[in-house]
Amino acid sequence: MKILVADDESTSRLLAAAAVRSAGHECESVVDGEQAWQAFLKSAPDVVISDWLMPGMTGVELCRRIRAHQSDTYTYFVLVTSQSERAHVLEAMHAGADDYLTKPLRADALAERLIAAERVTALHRLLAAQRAQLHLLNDELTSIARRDPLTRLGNRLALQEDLEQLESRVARYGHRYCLALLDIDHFKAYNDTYGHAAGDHVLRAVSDELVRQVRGGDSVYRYGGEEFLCILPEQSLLTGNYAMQRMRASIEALRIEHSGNAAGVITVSAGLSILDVALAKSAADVLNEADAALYRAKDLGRNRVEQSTASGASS
Amino acid sequence: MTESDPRTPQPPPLTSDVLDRDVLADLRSLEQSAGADFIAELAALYLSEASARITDLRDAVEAGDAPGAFAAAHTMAGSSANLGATDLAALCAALARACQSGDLYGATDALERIDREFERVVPAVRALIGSQ
Repeated sequence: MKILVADDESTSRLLAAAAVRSAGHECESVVDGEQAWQAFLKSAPDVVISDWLMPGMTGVELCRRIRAHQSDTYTYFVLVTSQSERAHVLEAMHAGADDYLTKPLRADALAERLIAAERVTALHRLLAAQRAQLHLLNDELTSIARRDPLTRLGNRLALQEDLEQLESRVARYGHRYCLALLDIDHFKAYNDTYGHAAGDHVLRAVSDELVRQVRGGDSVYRYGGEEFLCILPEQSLLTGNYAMQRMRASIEALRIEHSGNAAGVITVSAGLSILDVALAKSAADVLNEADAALYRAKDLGRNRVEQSTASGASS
Repeated sequence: MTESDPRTPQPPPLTSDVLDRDVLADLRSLEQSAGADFIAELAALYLSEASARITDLRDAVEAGDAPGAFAAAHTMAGSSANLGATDLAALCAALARACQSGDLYGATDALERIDREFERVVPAVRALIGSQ
């Protein structure tokens, strides 16, 4: 272990250092509380063995400061007092000390403390490692829970969380977002004709193509069965429309055979709307508008892009 | 003299050994793993600082500086105990306690006893260096 000895008296330092090294540990010694604090911050020792009475800062104050310091590792603290300072032991234990020794320091008594220190610090290290692993697993789980396993796109949960952030950014910074809902044309018929495995393949091909087509900063989600949602930051309805036309054309250009569709290949319809601070609408309202626009695109013959006609949205 | 005054720090009974056998035995046992020069180094370090510390103690007592006298007596008590100079350590600790409560009454007498004991301790500690 790395052990820090703090004592303002030189023979006590020499004695403690010899006892620490004899017990098989590394030792750094310092002459007062302030130096001890600096050394603690710099080298994060496993154990601090500190004299009670030192100029500037007592061992108890040092202990309190170490305990108040946020750290992943635990520092075992042993206070050293003279017989007449025995009354300070209780105060030290309350301040977070793990044990104490009385002067003159005996090497075997110190070695005994260091065995306990090794056990306790190892336990704390284990806890910290498990905590870190738990954190990692949590992050991983959160990420899995937010992703659609088939397409690897963000799912409804991810969308819901991201939309809340979006709404607050719109309100606070006046940002503007174009929201576009896309739907694969006659997908049910495709599944009925080609089977669900082929349907899954189409969903992946379409999502891959959408991801390829969007620009950095844009996001694509799997909104439902064969529905996708694109969020395009800082786009007007006009520029958003261009982007969606490009995507619609690129899906058609994949030339995936679909005998049940008028085009003979897989195509998509899209409806878009805009989330803008000036329009004072919720993300849910804007989604509904995009949905209505998508229905109109379907009604008007599919494989096309329609934008919301809701009040203010076309401005 | 104020021997009978209850406020005077009373000297503990002197033992026959100047340096405590148990402490020396501990130091010798530590020396097995700490290296052959350990006791000599510790003794030399003690001697190099102790005289100056006693001078500090005397200066502080004469100046009526109770906190200063406390610090010097406290340090002297600690280092003396490390070398097994248990009686000297006890004398210094008693004086430190008196000084801590701001009571320098009887400190001059205590200093004399500390001086006398120190004179016994120095050759014994010096012998630890020589015996290496």
